[in-house]
Amino acid sequence: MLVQRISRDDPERAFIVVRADEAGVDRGWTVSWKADGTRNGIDVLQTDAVADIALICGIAHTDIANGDYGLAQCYGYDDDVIVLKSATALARGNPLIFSSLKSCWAESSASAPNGESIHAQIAAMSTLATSTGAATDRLPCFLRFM
Amino acid sequence: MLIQRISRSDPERVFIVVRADEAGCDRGWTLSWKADGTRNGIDVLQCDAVADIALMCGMAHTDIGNTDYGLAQCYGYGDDVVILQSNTAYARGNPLIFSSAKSCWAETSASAPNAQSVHAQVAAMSTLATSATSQTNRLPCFLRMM
Repeated sequence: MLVQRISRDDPERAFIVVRADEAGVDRGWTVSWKADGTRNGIDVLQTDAVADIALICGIAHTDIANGDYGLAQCYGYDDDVIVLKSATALARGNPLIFSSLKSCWAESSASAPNGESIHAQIAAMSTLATSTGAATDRLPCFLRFM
Repeated sequence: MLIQRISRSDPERVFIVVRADEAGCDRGWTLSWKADGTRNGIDVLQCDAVADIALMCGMAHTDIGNTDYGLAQCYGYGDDVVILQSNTAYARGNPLIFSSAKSCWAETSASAPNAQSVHAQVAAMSTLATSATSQTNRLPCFLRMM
């Protein structure tokens, strides 16, 4: 695990080292543990199935080719998380939910914060305008996957 | 990020370095990322709005003056978390919810743990008697904000 030393200039972030076990583990996409008994806790896949959601471990920090090792960010400020841009705008502080539509994070009015203790895995740290068609985009977010 | 070395005598704790962007970021109060595009992931505000809840990042470890840098605790045992003392007593293990009444943590019987995996951000680690009037107080708690 990579945890940066004390700094006033850089946002706090933590990274884990992972091995991509398929193509498509690219920068900003969410990754999950593969968990097939071989290199458990090391191999990751792009999160694109319901069974992957509870095994989400981070956001790919760079493009990681199939069979290569790279970094996934598991905590802190990330400026390029892949999110779903749709007919609903994103506002600062929106907790996001994982959408199977495009295998990425999306706004959900159902999960809007109330008085309860919401432990959102990802929250928007910027706004995002609406889109007439569902498409992916990149958004600054706060990650909490640890 | 500050992670202490292995110790048998001190509780495990993790701190992040933050910059207060307003007055009121005092010891024991809950902080959230400001997220206005300037020093994202560094600037914090006191958590006192609904939109702040999903962006909670820790408890102020000391009083942090406006525009000063300081530490926020994001994991482990915090012995002076500001909570709401009202006509409901606190018991050890109570998961807490964030209360808009005083912008701090409060007891709730509604969120008592059951067979499900409760991932409370803050849980009481001590008891606290009732108070005829609602007021803030300080309580030892377990913080899980990473």
